Amino acid sequence: MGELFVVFLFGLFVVAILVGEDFILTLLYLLLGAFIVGKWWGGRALRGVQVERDFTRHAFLGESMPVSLKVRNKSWLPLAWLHVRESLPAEVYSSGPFQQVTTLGPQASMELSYRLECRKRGFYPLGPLDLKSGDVFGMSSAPRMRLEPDYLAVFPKIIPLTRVKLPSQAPLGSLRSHQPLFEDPSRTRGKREYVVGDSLRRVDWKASATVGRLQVKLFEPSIALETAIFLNLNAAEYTVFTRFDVPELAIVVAASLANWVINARQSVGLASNGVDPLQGGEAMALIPARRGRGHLMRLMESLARVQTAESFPFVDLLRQHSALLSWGTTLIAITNHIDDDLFDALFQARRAGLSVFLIVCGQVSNFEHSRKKAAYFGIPALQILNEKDLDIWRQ
Amino acid sequence: MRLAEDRKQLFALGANFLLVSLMLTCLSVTFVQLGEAIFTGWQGEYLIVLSFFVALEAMYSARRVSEWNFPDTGLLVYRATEWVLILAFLKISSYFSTGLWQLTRDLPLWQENFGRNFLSGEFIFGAIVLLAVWMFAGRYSLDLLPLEVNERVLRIEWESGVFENRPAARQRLANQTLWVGILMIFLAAALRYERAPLWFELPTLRFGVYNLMVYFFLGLVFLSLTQYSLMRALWLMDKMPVNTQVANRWLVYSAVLIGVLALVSSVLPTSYSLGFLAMLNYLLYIITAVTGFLASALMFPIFLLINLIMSLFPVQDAERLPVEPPQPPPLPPPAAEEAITVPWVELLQSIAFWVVFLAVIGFALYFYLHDNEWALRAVRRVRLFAILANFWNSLRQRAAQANRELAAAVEDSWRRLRARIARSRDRQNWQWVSLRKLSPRQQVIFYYLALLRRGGEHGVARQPSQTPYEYARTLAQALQNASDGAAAAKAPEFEQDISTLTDEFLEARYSQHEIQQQDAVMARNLWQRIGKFLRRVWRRSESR
Repeated sequence: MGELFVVFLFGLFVVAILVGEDFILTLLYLLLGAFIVGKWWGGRALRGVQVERDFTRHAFLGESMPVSLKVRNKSWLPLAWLHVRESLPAEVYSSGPFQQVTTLGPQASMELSYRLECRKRGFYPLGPLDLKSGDVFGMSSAPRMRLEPDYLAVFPKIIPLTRVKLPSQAPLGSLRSHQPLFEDPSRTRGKREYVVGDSLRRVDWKASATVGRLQVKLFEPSIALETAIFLNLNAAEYTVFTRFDVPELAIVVAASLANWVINARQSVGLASNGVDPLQGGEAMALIPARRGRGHLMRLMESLARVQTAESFPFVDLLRQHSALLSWGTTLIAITNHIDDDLFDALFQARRAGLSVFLIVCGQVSNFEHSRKKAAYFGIPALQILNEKDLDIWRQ
Repeated sequence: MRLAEDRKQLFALGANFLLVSLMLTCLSVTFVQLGEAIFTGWQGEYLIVLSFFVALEAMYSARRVSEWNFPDTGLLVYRATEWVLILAFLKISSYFSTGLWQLTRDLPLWQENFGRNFLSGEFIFGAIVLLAVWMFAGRYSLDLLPLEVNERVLRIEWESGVFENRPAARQRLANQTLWVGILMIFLAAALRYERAPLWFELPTLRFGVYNLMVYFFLGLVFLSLTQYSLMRALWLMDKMPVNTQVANRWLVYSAVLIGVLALVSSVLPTSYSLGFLAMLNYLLYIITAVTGFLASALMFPIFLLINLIMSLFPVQDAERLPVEPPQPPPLPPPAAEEAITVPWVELLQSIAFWVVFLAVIGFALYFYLHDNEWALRAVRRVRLFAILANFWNSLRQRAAQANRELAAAVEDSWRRLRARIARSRDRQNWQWVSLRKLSPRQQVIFYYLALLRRGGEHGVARQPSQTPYEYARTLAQALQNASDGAAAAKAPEFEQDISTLTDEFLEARYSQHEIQQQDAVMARNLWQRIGKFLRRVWRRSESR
């Protein structure tokens, strides 16, 4: 409309010149004013608008989470109409994008809100948020404003485990052990009479003075369970039938184990050949073993983000990162693909002093044969077909 | 909810219709000023009011006929009747302006020369103005249609996958508003060009400015409303929830903005700029003159060359056609004898003219009201029309009653007349029958029919429902009752004769085989005997 209006105003001006009438000038003022105000209003409508997206950036599976959009018009120019459109992924907001048409007076603010249903693990962009407004005459094309997306991490499902029996060879940890080899001198569990051969460093002199006989301390054996979880998310190593469900099961197993290890006040690390969207589609960076809730959150966010993709082989991941692990670390390999290369890599890790544990998620052909083969190499193996199979660690 | 939505939409529709009608009324003001400049002494204010209603009607009609295609007979009839009514109202309105006495003077003149006296210059000008208003209003109405959106319309579009181009419709509306404005400005400027010195002395000219101001003021309101309609349609199409405050705020902001603009533009000084405009005018004149000179200078060699080339082909004097000397004007034809006009022929012509004229108007009115039930209902609600309608209905009922009675009387008279004619024809037919020319079958039937006729003449007519045997029994019974003495004694014998004649008739009438002459002779003998008996019996009964 703008172009024709300009032509019209120019024509009006020419007529005013030719005729020399002041009424045409009055008209010119009116229409020029409408044109300029319309253009100016349309162009500046969104300049004073501020938008904030307020939400918790991570959520647990099944959680319903509110998101609020705080829109504020800082200028004195009112917005006759304001179109707000927030693009949202269908996994968390099934009814299309959130959109609303509203109006905002000068120096006014308002809050729009919607709820997200976190039904699936993932790392979801909330936005971009598009704002559109304009003048009441339609003189200018509606200006737009965009608020870049924020991201929401929906953690994978965590199944609380209670009795996980993972092999470890790291002494002096905080976990009880039945191997007397790993006695911890900081954990005294009792005393007994001295017998020949006992080390004098074990003699409890105070107790010996009290009793009048030599007493030696008994120490509780303990191990440290430093764990490294290796997660195979290379799409090429899954079949067409297992590509969608089994990686999710593998992620649930990894998250549950990590949670258990952290709860046991041990350290846990994570390595995967899946891609991380936050790193531009590159493979997920190795997360070294650490303790504490904060580290667990970091692990969970990584497991929320990580995605199956055509990546490098799982064996390469094992070979690349297992060499960096300290002696006695427990290596948990979670995969769906078993072959001789895998056994070779796991055996090499075992020989390097790591405690290796193989978890096979999903169906594989002739798992029993593979289990026997793993046992031959001294590697315990477990198959988990669904989440219910994790009950063996819950009893 | 839907009711409220419909009410809102109806309100928006009404507001748009009203705005457009007022804008086009402003246009008609400019046209009227033009007309008053062309036709000295013409008062065309009535055209302004009429334009408003014509615009409203045109917008409604455009919707009404939008589903019809052009060659459709219904469309043509509707449009024709619509325009007959518009022209009729135009004519009537013009007489309200000049005074109804003028109508009484003009009525006789219409039939003398309809083209000259009815279709006067002012009338044709008014018709052109109304046509322009009508066309613009129809266009507006059709372009507004896509912007009137509700869920039902959108559902149809979603299901069909065919969507209206609403931004284009709104663009057309805006363009049309601007073009009409341009037309008004040019007309107003042209009207004012010659009368600039009289500017402050002519209040009507000032009025002409105000209508332009009002037009553009309304135009801005219209642009704002159509923009809202467009945005609302787009939002609904995207299924966006719209805050209820948006419509109210839109109206408020538009009103404030336009009001402020109007106020500012009206108080901004203009007089001082007239010198500036005059200077620009002078500058424009110089530019035009220089451009014209340059163009002439450029074209001069070309014209010179053409002239030189043309001089190579001189036109011979002999080839030139001789100029005929001016002819004296032809003598006027001898005065024809004054046509002898017969008064009753004039009366007939007058009646024919008015019948045709009123019939056309009446048909147009009837058809229009019939096609637009709302108009009919609206007319019925007016008290005066209700009284007139009641009066008309009672008149019609009485006329119908009188018609029925008259028809019954005529029918009765006609039946009696036909019966009389039939009887006389029968008599004539009987008189003309030649028995010798009849076949035996026809002779037998003839004698039986003679028996029926004779019975009928004496009160024993055969009823249409009676079979020949039933009638024979009835006739025999009647003879039995009427005869006395010797005749009564002979009655059974004649009863047998009647029965035999009936048998003969039935055989002649319905059988396929040939009837012999002897049968005809026998029928004749039977009839003669029965006839004698009947004459004797009834003569005696009549004498008693």
